[in-house]
Formats: sequence, C-alpha cells, structure tokens
Amino acid sequence: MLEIATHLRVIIGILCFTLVGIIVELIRQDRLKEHYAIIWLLTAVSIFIFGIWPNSLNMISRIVRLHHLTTLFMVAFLFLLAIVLHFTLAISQLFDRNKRLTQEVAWLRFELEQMREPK
Amino acid sequence: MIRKTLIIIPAYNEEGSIARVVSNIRQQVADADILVVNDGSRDRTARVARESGAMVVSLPYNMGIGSAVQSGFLFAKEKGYHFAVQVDGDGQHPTSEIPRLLAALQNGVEVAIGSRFVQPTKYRPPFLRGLGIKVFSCLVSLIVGKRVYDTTSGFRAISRKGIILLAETYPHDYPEVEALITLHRNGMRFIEIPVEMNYRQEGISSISATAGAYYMLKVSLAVLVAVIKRRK
Repeated sequence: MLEIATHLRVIIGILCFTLVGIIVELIRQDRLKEHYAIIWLLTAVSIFIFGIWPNSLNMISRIVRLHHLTTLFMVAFLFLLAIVLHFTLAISQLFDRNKRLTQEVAWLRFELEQMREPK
Repeated sequence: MIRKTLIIIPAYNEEGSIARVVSNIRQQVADADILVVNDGSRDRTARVARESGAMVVSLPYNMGIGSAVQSGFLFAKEKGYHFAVQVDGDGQHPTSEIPRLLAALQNGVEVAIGSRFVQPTKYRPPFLRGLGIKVFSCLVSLIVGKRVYDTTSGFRAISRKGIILLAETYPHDYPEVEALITLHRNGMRFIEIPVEMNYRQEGISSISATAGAYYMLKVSLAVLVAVIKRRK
C-alpha cells in the first residue's frame, strides 16, 4: 500500500487547482488556445488523481515493475514528452503557415507595385 | 492558344551574375516571362534584375532555396502559366538549353530535368560529392523504378500539372531530390535531358564539405519521409 500524508495530499490538491485555475484564466484572456490547453488540463487532472488516489500509481508500478517513485518520474516524463511533441507539431504547422503567408505577401507586394507603376 | 512560359530564377545575393542570366534568357527564350525571386538579398539583386527586364518578387527575408522556388511556382499557378522553368541565378545553368527542356514536356511528361550525368560530360565532381550523387541516384532510382542519373540538378522544366502540385508542396531546404519523389508519388512522369553546365569559376558552392554530411543525412531522411507521405 502506498501512503501519502494528508498534508501532502492537500498540497497536491492546491497545486492542481492552481494549475487548472491558471490555465482557465489564460484561455479566458485569449492568451492560450483551447487546443493547446487540453494537454495541460490532462496533466493537472492526472496529478490530481495520483494525489487523491495514490494507489493508482501503485498499480502502474506493479504493471511496469518499478519502484513507485521511479514510476512517478516515468509518468511525469511521459507527460513532458507529450507536451514537447505537441509543441513541435504546433511549430511545424506555424512554420508552414508562416511560409505561405510570406510568399503571398511577396506576391501581393509585386501586384501592388505593378498597379502603381504608370503604364 | 498561346502557351505561357515562366522562367523562375531564385536569387540570393547574385547582383554580379543575375543581369547576364536574365539577358541571356531574354535572347534565347524570347516568348517567356522571367521572374526573379529575390530571396531576401542584401545586395542590389532586385534592382539589377528589374533593370535587366525581369519581373521581381522580393521575399521579405531569406527563406531558403526551396521556399523561394516555391514562391515562383505559386506565382505561375496563380497567373495561369502553362510551363515553368527553374534556373539558378548564378549562371551555371546553360540557358540556351531551355527550349530543349520545354520541348520535352509532351506525351504525359510533366517534368524535364537538365541532367549532367545521362551522357558523359566534362563535369567531374570531387570524390565525396561524386559518392553522394551516386547514392542519391541509386536511392531515387530504386523508389521511382527507373534509372535517374542527376537527382540534384535544379535546372528543370515543369508542366502546369507539376506547377500546381509543387506550389502546394515543395521541400524547404535542399529540395531537388525530395521533389522528385513527391512528383513520382503523385503520378508525374519526368525525364532527363543531357546538358553541359557551366561550372563556377569563383564563389563557393552552397554546400561546403562539412555541410555535406548533414546534407546527405537530411536529404536521405527527407526522401524516405517523402515515400511514406500521403498523396496530395
């Protein structure tokens, strides 16, 4: 049985609610796109689950046969990996759009110069 | 019906050679429009090109050869050109061969490549580069299912169908090899036309020896990715 002290659970609970609060506020202020917020919300929820119900971590430990602290790190690592992959996807998409935008701007500027030129 | 042809010349800091390239093309391919894609040059490339009679599209910053050439395809697509020819701005491509490349675009051939290695030419690449050229040639030949000799030549004529495809998807850096796979995967046929190139007397190649290894790795990977990419 994996035991987590009550005060630690409270801290974890506060941490999760703070994280969720920050994310919701960022979305509300239009500084974070909902699309990218989902993975952060998932992260907060999982931390919350591990905090409230530490045995879930214990179960994972048994499945992957690792010490539960190592399991915690593994789970955290997987989440960070997912977030980084998510960022890379976002950057790739931005790169493509930025490229097309730049090409269109150059083309439109050419058109504009053509129109301005006295015939 | 008038067949419109656009010559696309990507140029980055080519004020020394661009005027000659443009004026050569104007003489040799009189009925074609010439577009210089000024890829964020810091010298007078745009002005020199305009003064020598080309249309000039200036990218706001240096985007790299792939994106510059693609800007040209985008232009050709939007303006309804039937054919496009990409020619380097440094004068190493024999512009007098453009009509031959264009003439090859028939009977379902969508791309004609000005090729250095179909027939023995004067070009003798240094050892390592020669090796790289062979590796790519084998790799592409294997994927395409027919012998392709010069996969890195950037001297190409492209039909309307190819223009529309490449305006949509064109590799960003070191684009030549990967573009062949993209064309093949989308059912476009290409052929090689032997040409003799003018080799640089001065200046340095865009690929230095140290960058060579990276180039090989990047392009090989890009080719493999291009093979598994979804068709457009």
